[in-house]
Amino acid sequence: MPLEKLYQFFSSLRLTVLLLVLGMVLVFLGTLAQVSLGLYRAQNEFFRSFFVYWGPPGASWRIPVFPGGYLLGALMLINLIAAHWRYFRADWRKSGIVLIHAGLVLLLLGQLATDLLSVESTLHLREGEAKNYSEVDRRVELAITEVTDPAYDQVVTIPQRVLERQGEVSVSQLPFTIRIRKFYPNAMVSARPADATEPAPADQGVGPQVVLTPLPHVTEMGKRDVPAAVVELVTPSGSLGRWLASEYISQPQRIATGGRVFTLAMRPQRLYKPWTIRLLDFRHDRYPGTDIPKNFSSRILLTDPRNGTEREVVIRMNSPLRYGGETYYQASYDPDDQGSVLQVVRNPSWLTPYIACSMITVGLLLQFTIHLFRFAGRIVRT
Amino acid sequence: MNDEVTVPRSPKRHLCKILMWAGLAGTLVPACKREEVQVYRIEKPQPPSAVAPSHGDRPGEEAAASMAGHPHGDLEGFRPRIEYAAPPGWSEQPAGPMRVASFRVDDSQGLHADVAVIPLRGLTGRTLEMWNLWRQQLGLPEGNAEQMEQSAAEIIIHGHRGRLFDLVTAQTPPGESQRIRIVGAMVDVNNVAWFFKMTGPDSVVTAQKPAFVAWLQSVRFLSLDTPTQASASVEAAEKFPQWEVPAGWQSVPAGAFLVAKFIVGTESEKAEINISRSAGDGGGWINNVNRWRRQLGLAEAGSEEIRQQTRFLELSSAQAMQIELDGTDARTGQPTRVVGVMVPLADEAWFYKLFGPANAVDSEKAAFIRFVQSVRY
Repeated sequence: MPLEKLYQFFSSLRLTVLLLVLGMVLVFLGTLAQVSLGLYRAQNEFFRSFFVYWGPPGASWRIPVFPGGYLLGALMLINLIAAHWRYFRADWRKSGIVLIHAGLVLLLLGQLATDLLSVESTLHLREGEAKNYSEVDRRVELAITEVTDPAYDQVVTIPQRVLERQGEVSVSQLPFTIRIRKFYPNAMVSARPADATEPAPADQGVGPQVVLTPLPHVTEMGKRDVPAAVVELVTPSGSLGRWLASEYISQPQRIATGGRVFTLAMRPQRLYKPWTIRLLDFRHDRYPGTDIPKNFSSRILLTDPRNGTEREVVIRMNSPLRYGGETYYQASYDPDDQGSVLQVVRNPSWLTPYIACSMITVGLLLQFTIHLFRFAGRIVRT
Repeated sequence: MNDEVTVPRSPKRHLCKILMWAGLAGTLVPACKREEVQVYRIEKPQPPSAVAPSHGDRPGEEAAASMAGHPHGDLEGFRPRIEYAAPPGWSEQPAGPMRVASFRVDDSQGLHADVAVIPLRGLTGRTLEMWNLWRQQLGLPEGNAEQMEQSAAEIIIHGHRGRLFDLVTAQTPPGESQRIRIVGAMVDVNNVAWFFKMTGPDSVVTAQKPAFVAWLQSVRFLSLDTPTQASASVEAAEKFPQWEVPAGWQSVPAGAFLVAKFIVGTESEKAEINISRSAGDGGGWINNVNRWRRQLGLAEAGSEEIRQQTRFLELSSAQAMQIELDGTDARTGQPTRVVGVMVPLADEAWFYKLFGPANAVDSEKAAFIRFVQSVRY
């Protein structure tokens, strides 16, 4: 029966050994790949994927050549559960083993949940500045903001993943459809020389005045790609032309149509929060007579109108602020010591490794203790 | 391995299958989560206070003015800075968002060239792409790395080795009176790629090239900790001297290990001046004189002999040693005279070497000594 064979395959201890060996090889290859791909891309291509792909340099096709981290992790999890089910016999003397395995299952599931559900972003504040959003460093969004209302802006954001699909976006709040004509994962935009001969990347806004140069992915740590997109705005009565969006273009480009005014800008993806954080003071203490950092900390004012919260908090290294399901770590600072960078982590499963490790520890203690008492009992009996 | 254990047939296997597939589905389904378009209302933010300056006389610059000095590929937001000594006749312009320095260089015919300094974080090691970008701007076909290296001259800017390029359009572009030339240098400093570029009519850029190269050698890259100065001269630069270059001396790209290099005279009677510096005493006077002696095919001399040949040169800030040697240049095989000077300072030593055919060296020797005496450390 095929299902039974499948069950035997997934519960096989040989599969366990094979998966552990493949896991070791994957870690080894992924570590080596960081040299050429950089940390971020190596993590994505080796560990946050179901397969590791390879293709000849310059070719447009790639084939899967090795199982990726997601596939190995999923198979390990299935194997662990299936094998445990297959070989499990109710016996109090094996209760420690059960606890250890349950801890491992929780650890695997928790890490998968962390990987899939956690969101990291940064909050950069100059002293005195307040923000109610953080920014995702390596993702951009196309923001089309209606600025007609004198009090409020209405913002439509198109995340990078949607831009990459190069499709069409229509929302009822906009009088035009956005056709993403071209998306460049990394491109430089520079001023257009007078004698440039190649066609302009776009015919509206700053498009005719610039040159767009696609670049390969950045691989070094601490650097990132700067994506660009060419979008066409289409109203029922016709096209409004093509616009270029890039973080290089710092001033939002204005679009006026039907008595309404919009701006268009590419920016780091923003994550808005119902509370506001204002940087009151940043301190960077050094050991006397040296430039060696002793301590750096941010004194912030947290304001949440939902519950009337208004309190000052000092965030230092190893002493983060936890609020609203997010954790704010002191991550970096401006060279002039007038600004601070906080890393913002939202991780719904942050407790799972603590619980899992506790279960494994208790399981190990239990199992060794049971063995010790059984061994001691045998000695007494003989 | 007890892999061959027979599985007892029992109802729990059905439960096991269900759990297995549920586990697999539970693993895969969250991975398919998608980011979607969002719509929200926010209070109007404060309008930006900074307004980018406009440079209407430079094509394309208005567009650049609306561009951030967004360091490409960078996660930081601070712009690198430099100090320099602007050559006479160069008119400093507002820097703008992309440029950290900008000049307009006019000639007597009413033509002018544009000088720009643009730092780009994260573009280090991309010299070929940027060189091709300049070629593209001049309507030249793209070249490969080998062609780029062949066309490059080495240049040292504040101790960092870079490349100097000289590019010109194949023909006079429409609307222009002559061909357009770019003389530019690219140098990587830490994680910042620096681009120094002079663009303009062929005659202006060609005439200004020596001044451009000399200006590059006055450039100092400032660390972010260095206090801001909008446009400081070399006098403010840390331990970099100011000197008065004699008339007729032409600054050329300095090779490796040199701070600056000048040439003077005609092709057949050309003298060269090399300037270098070393930490500490630079190996000492005796060792350096013997190094010069070896370059001239002379046997090494003892310290007593060298001391007898050494003259002392009074400077405002130090006492320098001077020596004159005659021999045959080991590289060219030509008879060569060397006038060498070492200036020992508290924590470094500066070396000045005038060399070439005896006639050329003799005619420049007085100017050379005045030049060494003019240096303010």
